[in-house]
Amino acid sequence: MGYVAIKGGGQAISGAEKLLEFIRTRQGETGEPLDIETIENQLYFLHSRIMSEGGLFHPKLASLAIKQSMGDTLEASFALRAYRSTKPRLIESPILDTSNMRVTRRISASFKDIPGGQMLGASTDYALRLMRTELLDESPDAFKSIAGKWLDENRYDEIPDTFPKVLDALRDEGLLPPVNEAISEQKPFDITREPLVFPVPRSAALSTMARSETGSILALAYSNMRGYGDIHPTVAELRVGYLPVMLPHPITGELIEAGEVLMTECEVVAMYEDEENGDKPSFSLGYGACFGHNEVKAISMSILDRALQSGMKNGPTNPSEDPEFVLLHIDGIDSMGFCTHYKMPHYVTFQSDMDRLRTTQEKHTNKHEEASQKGADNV
Amino acid sequence: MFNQTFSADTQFRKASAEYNFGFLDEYAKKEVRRSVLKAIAIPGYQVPYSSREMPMGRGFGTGGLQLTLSLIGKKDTLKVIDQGSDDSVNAVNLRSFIEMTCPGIDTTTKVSEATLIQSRHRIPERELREDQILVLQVPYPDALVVVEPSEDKRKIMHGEADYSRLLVKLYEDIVKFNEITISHRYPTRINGHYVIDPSPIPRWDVPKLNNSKSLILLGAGREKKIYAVPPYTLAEPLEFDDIPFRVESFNDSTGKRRTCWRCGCDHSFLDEFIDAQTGDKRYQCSDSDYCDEQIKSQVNNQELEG
Amino acid sequence: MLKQDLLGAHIKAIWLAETQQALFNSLMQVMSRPGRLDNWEQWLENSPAYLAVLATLLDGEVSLNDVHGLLTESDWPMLQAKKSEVELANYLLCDASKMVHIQPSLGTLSSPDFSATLILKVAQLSVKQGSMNLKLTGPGINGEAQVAVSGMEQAWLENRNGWCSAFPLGIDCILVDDTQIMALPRTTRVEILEAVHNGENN
Repeated sequence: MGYVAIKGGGQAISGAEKLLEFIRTRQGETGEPLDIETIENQLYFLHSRIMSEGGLFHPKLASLAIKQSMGDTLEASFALRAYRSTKPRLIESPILDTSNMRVTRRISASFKDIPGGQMLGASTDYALRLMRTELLDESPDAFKSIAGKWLDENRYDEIPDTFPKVLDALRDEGLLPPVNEAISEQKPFDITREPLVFPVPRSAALSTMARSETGSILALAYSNMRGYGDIHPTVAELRVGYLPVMLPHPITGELIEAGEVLMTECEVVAMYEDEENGDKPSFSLGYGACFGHNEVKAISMSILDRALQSGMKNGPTNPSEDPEFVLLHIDGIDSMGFCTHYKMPHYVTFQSDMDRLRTTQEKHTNKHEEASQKGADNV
Repeated sequence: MFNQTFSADTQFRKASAEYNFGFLDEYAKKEVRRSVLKAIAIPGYQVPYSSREMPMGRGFGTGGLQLTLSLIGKKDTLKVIDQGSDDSVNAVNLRSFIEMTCPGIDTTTKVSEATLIQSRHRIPERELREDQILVLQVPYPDALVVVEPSEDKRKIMHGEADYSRLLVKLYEDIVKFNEITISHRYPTRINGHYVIDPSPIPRWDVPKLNNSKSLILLGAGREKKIYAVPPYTLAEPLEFDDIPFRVESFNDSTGKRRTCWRCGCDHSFLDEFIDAQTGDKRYQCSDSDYCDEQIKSQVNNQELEG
Repeated sequence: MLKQDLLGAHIKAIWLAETQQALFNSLMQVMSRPGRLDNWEQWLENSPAYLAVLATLLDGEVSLNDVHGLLTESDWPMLQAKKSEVELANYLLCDASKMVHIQPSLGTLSSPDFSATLILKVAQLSVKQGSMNLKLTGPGINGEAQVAVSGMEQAWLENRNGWCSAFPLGIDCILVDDTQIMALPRTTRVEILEAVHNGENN
């Protein structure tokens, strides 16, 4: 038992791994290993991105993934996703109500005054993108005092934890279609357990987009924004915060709060459509949500959700409305894996390619020789 | 799992204790297994499955790997090949991962010893036996993708066995180049119905699919499909009466069959390369195990004669 | 499965991952080679062979209909499968000695895999003689194969041939007796050579 075939190729792999490890540690004596907590806090947005693209809310392992992949977002998400795929699905949560979110930021572009008010929160939106050269050589003491000082100065308990949703106000005014109870009772599609066979339900599209690669989903959404599409969205509400996760108690079945996850959620309102069934015309909606704090991704997703709903209903008129095109090209793990694989040897197929080319060239030459022969005969 | 300290040498390749036998959880294996049975029952049909993320890149054989990991048990002897060789980096990497996550299995480089063979781009030259299973890694599972980008529509075409557009494409090739230009991934009809992409094996290997003694399973991880060519099943490359399917030619300009410089074999698929010293073209068996076997049998024969 | 494990109770081999790997390999071989009979006795520990088939294939992602009530209540939580109507079930467990009028799912033209797999319990499978001798041809069979089945209503085979008449639509059958197993995928052409009526020469 356990006889192992070993050959030379393994040495190359092991050498490459060691070299990579050298690069990670080559700072030498002046270096400090990256601390997991530091990654989670100081590389906050990167950390958020890895959890959302990895499709696993696991702050500690997300930090580890960033550390071991040396900050490569695709590699880090990949490691997290691969870890996730070895875990069985033990329990399902019910659909969670995001109006219970402990909000740290919420804004609306549709109304100046929204119920509960705008809350800018932590945002780079209005930051001046100037180089903060003072951080080049930051004093650890100064660094350590900033957070404490902020907490002393801010009475954060004056702000309520939760806010009503802007969409509810729009719905009350009859500007939005009523909530379709039948749909919310349907079991959502689990993309980790079922393959996408088109046409897919909207829940499959949403979960695929929720773990998509940020740059990829942005690119497709941007194509729609620029004119390969017709959504013209208005952000009704964008919120960032901690969503309580409710799970049924294994014995009593009663819902209990198992913890909370940091999420970004975006709801866009788009122009109304003709209602075939004679219903009152109303605005249409697009929805986006992902783990962590990643606003560009949530907004892109909400726009594509709206575009895909159009495509599913009327047939796609541009790439961003085509479910197959969008959903099969936004996963970072799939696309980077395939891109990387071109570096593997293709000797056999290339040999086969050369055989075809040579045969075709030969036939080409023969044909031309025949033709020129004929030409000569005719003279 | 965070407090373990590994020496720098071993830290990458020692994770087996933290993972299930075969890396995948048993539910994932069951799904793959159910799909395998469907794939066998509907020869050539691409069965969709959820395809888990493996800890190596999509495109590096994750589909084949999931099949192997779902099938393998402690009594199995595994051979992993890439480009016909057990020693190519990707084959080594896959084999080392499977050894790590499946303690107790045997691995081999000899076709004759293997019960399970995972391969990329080649089918071994030596005919496989009934008790062996071949798993092929597939990057593009659907032969119709060249004529129809929508999977939804392709599924209907497959169901109806409507391959007219694919045949037109082949015909256009002939008109343009006077030859079918498909070099590898040659569309092959299974049991008279489904046309499959047989994975990027050269045309040389396509006849081995026909009436094979062993079960052949094909796995596409990124595209999330599993399909099969059962044993003793018809597998016919698409062709026309006047332009037949042809395997790669290894004849030189005088029409003489080239041979392997190493073992002298005149009936195997050859890799072509340039000798670094002389600048001459050289040919060598692509299937390294077969090449070794030929050399060995020659030595044995010489000993007998001597 | 986990609970029993924690309490230290004995778990029968058919519920263990290692057994299921071996059983699946056998199942895959019989599905690839219609007419091949495999004997599972060494793994069964008195469990019925049909239960071992279900244990090997099922989990919470798929549905089962126990058409003739062959399972006990305690089998269900172990199998984890969803109970479902016959027309929708992924797997049907039937006693082949009793014919019933059912319509299993045959799949669709674009997704023929959305079809049912039937696990049919018969009295005896044999390569020699039985009450019904069958000639099998098709993929997986080198030329032709002959098997004998006892304790199976002929109507099951007639229905099966009807359900499988429009490839790729169809159903796949796994036949089990007490310890042996064989398969009839939808591609197999089944010809009934002779059928001796029940009660006579078994």
